Amino acid sequence: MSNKYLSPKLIKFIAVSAVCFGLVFLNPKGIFNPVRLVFLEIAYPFQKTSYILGQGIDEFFSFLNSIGLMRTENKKLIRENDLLTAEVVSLHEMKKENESLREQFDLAPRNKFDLEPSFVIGQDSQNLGSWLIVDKGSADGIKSGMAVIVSEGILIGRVEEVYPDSARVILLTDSSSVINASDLETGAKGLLRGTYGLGMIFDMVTQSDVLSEGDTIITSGLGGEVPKGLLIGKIQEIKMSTDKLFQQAIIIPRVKYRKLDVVFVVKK
Amino acid sequence: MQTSFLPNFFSTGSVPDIALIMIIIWTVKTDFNSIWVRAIFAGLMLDLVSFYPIGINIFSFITVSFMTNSLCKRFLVLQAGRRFFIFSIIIVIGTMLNHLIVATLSDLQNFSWERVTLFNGALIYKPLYNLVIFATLYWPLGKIDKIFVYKNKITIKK
Repeated sequence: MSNKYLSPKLIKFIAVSAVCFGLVFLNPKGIFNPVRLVFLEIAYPFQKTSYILGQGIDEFFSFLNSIGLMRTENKKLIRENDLLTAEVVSLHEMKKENESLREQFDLAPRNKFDLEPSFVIGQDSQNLGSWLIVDKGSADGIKSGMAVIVSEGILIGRVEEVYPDSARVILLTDSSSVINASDLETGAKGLLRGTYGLGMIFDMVTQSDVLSEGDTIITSGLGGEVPKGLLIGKIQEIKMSTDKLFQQAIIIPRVKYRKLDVVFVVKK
Repeated sequence: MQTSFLPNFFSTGSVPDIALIMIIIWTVKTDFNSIWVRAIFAGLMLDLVSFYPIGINIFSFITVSFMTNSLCKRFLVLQAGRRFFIFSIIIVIGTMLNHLIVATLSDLQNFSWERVTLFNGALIYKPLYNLVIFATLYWPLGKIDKIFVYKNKITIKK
């Protein structure tokens, strides 16, 4: 009777499952890191090539798709060009104003950081895009905890794990990501948390602080790991925390993480 | 390919599970006993490259393969005329099972329990994308397997 139920298939399945559960729950973290390191070293050239190839193909099809739209877009662009020429004049004035505001708010100028440009060579495929792999690692001076930005000084995440030639970057939308942030307009301070790859929440803002929809959220620099004044996103919606003690705001990121190809690691 | 090539074409979280589909196809074409080692190997590779704790994808692939084998035995023999329909159902169930196992185990491993990881947009799109990948891979994989079987036969004859 028991032989009928305990077929070799079932025995194999139960044995493998038991080993897997043991590995997942009983294994101390990091014991497989040397294996992972060797594997990533081997996989690195393939990952880099296939990511760049994938981007090339994606861009090629996007280009083909856009050909039909170009004619109408061209007419539109000519009109826009005239308008923009006029706007350039006023922008010169705004530039001066911007510089003055930067000084007032003590925002970090972009050229202040020692940036390491890196190509994105991998992304989280299984859950909700919560990490990236970049092609720079400890050999290039990358360390765990360093901030990662895109060209316009927009923070996208932090370095989590470093390997000799690559590093894993946890995005701001990852559930384990917590960063000190503040409201640029009102100065309200709080914590920016990822929400399982779905977005970001500006949390733990006291009731006395003022938040408004459309406000810009920047890094506050508290904690010291992430520099002050890096742009994060804008407030989309404000609500109360479940315990009604704090204010929360849903933040729209400034960049689409799926479309990233070059990022900059802030070394200091 | 799953972590570097395909994320360029699909929205985050909905990238097709090529490794899973290959495991399902191999199970459908042979049986659990023949591919369980491949399932372990594929799971291990994916765990390493996806930064998951070792064991999560291995367990998921073994479970999906075992389930596929059980379903094939019951339905494909009886209803050979509706193979494609049954394959599609197996792919959808396999995809959902894989997603639920990976999400649940990684949540439990992190000592958290968030249903948002379980029930998200990926559960709608992933089965569809995986069906397309299944339709694309089914024939070429069969051909490759046949080539290997043919070569093995020649080697044995020699």
